[in-house]
Amino acid sequence: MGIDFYYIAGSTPCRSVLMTCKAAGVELNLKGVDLQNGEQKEAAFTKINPMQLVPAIDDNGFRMGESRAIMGYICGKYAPDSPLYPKDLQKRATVDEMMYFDIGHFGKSIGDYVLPQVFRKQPADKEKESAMKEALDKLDRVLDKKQYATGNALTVADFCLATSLTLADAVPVQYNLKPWNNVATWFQRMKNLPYFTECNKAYYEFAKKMTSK
Amino acid sequence: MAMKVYYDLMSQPSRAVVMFLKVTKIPYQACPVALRKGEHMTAEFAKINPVKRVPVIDDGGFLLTESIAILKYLCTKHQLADHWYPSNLKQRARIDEYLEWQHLNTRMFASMVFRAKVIDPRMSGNPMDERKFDRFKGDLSKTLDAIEKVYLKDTAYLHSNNISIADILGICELMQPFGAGVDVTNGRPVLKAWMKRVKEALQPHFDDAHTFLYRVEDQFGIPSKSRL
Repeated sequence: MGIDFYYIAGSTPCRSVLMTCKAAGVELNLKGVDLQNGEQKEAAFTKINPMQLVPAIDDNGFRMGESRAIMGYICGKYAPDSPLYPKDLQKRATVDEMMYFDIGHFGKSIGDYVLPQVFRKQPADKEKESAMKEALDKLDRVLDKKQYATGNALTVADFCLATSLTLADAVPVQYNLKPWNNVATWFQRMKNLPYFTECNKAYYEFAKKMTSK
Repeated sequence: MAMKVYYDLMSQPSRAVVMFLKVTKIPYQACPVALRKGEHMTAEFAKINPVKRVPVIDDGGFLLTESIAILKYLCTKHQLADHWYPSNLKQRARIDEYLEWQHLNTRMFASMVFRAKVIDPRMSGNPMDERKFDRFKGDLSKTLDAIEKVYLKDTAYLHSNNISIADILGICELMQPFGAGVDVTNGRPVLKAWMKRVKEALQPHFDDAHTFLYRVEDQFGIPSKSRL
C-alpha cells in the first residue's frame, strides 16, 4: 500500500523528505496539494494534517506532519539500521542538533533573506543578509574537517541543511559561497548525490518563474 | 565528572533544560552564561559552542547544542521513565511533531511578543512599537488556538496522555509572554488547565527556573498573573 506523501514540489521541508526516501529506498505515493488554491484548508486535507501544512504523510492510517519528525519516523520504521538517522546515542543527538540548528537558525536566516525577494520582489535586505552570513559562518565552522554535517556519514541533517541552502543558490540570489569553503565543498558533494537534481529541480524552476514575471 | 550545562534562565530553551535536569535529578555542573552581558559572544565561549548560543552541554567531552537534541539525548542516555520521550515509534513521532512545529509557532511568536514589549525598548531606549506588538499578539493567538485544537484536543498533555519533554519546552515558551503582560490562558480553559497540570508536576523546580521572569513582571509593574 505504501506511504501517501502530501507535498508541493518546491517546498524546502518536502524536498528534505523526498531526499530521505530516495536515500533510504522508501517508496512514496506522491500526492500534490494545491496550496495556491487553498486545498490545504479544505476538510479532506485537514483530516490528514490538522495544521494544514505540507509535508504530511499517511502511512496506512498513521498520519503526521513536520518534516523532521516524518524523517525520524520513516527511518525508524523502514530503515532502522541506516546511518541516515543513526541509533547510536551521540550520533543521533548530533543529527538532531543539526536538524534543529537548521529550522531555528540556518534555514530560517536564509528564508528570511531570500523569500521576500522571490515572493514579493522586495530588494535584498542588508540586515537579513548579515544574519544569513553569520549562519553560513557557523555552518562553515561546524563542517571543518568533516565530509557531512555530523561527520563522515550522510544523514537526514544534511538533507535539511542542503535544501535550505538551495534557496540562496537559486535565482534571484545565487549567493557566492566561495568565502565559506567548507560549506561550498559540502554543498557540491550534496549536489553530486544521484537524486539531488530530481528532488530539488522544482524549486530552482519555481524561483526562475517567479523572478522572470 | 558531572556534565557541564551552559545556560541563561532568560532563554526559554535554557530554562527547559535546567528545569528538566532538576526534575529528573540528573547531576550537572551549572555554568551560567549572561546573555545580557554578551558572554556568549566571547572567543572563549565560541570554543565550547561555535554557534555561540545557549543552552549547550559538555557531557564528558561530548558537546551538544539545541535544547531539543539535548532533552532527547538526556532521556535516552539516562534511561528515564518512558513517558518523557516514548520509545514506541508512533508515540515518539507525535512528540517530535510538536517539538518541530513549535519552533516556527509557539517559540517564534511567544519570543516576539516578549521581545517587542520588554527587550527592544530596553535596548533601543525607544517606546514599544505598538503595531508590532499587536501583530505578534495576533500571531500568538492563532498559535494558541492551534495548540488547544490539535495538540491538546484529545490528550491531557501535548499530543500525549502523559507529561513529556514537549510539555517541558512548551510551558517555558508559553510563560514568556506573561513577562510582557500577556496572559496566554485568558479565555482558553483547555490551555489554562494544561499549564496548571504541568506546573504542578514540576514544582518547586518550576518556580525556581522562572524566578527571573517573575522579577520582570514585578519590575514592569505587570500583575503576576502567571503565578498560581
